[in-house]
Amino acid sequence: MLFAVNRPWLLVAIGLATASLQPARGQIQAPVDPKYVVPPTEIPKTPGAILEMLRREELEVQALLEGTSAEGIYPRFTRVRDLSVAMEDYVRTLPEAKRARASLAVRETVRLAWLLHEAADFGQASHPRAALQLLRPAIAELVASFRE
Amino acid sequence: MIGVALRRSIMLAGAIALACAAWFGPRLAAHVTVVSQYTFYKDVLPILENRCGSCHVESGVAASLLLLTYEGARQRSWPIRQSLISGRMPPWYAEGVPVPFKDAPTLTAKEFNILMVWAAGGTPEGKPVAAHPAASSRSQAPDTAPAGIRTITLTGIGEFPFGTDRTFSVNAGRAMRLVALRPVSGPVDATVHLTIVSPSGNRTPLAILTLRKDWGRRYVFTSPIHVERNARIEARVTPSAGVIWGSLTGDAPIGPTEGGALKLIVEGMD
Repeated sequence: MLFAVNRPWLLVAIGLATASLQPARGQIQAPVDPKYVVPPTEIPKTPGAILEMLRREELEVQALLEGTSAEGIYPRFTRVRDLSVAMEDYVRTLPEAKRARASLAVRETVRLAWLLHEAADFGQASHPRAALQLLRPAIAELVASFRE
Repeated sequence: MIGVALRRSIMLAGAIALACAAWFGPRLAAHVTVVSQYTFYKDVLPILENRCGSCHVESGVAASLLLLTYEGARQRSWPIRQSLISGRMPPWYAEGVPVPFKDAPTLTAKEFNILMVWAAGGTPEGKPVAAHPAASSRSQAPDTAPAGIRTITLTGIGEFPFGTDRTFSVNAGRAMRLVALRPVSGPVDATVHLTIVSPSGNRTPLAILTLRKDWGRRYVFTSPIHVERNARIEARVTPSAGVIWGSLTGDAPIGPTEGGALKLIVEGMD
């Protein structure tokens, strides 16, 4: 520390360097790491096809729960989120008595998909696992709320 | 003398190189998985005004957390993420299943996703657009039951250890039209799934509530729900996603063991 105090230019340089690490106003903090890039989800044109994709995602979530690899967490997050958001448009096509359940199921699945994303950021296996355990039945409920 | 000057030159060059690398090179982060295509003014502000604006303004009850300016929202992007994920915001904590509750400030899935993408994906500002209409304060349902309402109290006493489900029920007695729910107490941050179970065993999901310390609100259904004679109102108590999230972040280290016995008042008309 004394070394730096005796050299004001060094303090200025370090200050400049650390200041530049702060998120700038309205800027992306970092480029997306290609390792985590997930291709955009192609949304099928019919609700039945979307639900079928969601059902497959539920199986993928189950596989993640049973496995030990964390690979596949971000694809699951992205696809479950995008497919669930897409299903929101179809809630109004359901009979009135079924809409509230389906609407809730859609919102809850999107929320839990984001929980998985945030939990994965913590970097410990137990966190995304806990989120996956919540997400799997939420997907099942979403599919059931439209099909039953 | 020459050695000191040389050492200083080398250090100066090194410091400048460090500053340049940090300034011009990629920003450091563990990893970034979301880049927001949504901007504050075009996509986020209209949602914040509609759903959060009645409280998060200078005259509101959450005036210390202003969200209707770009800087205010950007600086709180992390709390916004936490509050949305945990379900703490918007503070409503209830979902009517057969019919929704009146005056619910619930975010749609699209709105939720836009806020999360923006908050997690770089908080881009965008260009200011024409002023939006000011948010109006929401009307709240009264906290007490009106005259002519019959009440049934559902109670559940016992331990609520983390990770376990508990189920309680009460017989509704006479047939009625169920109009409202009034939670009184319960294990904090647990989720309560309420179901009507007919005498023949048919199950109709009624509502999903998240128990909070600041409960006391009366949740009124948009239309009455028929409850058969001798049907049971069943409450299944489980840990909520908020509990999981709180345990991850340490932000809200409360679990369903706090808060004590479940007490929930069901209001109906004959």
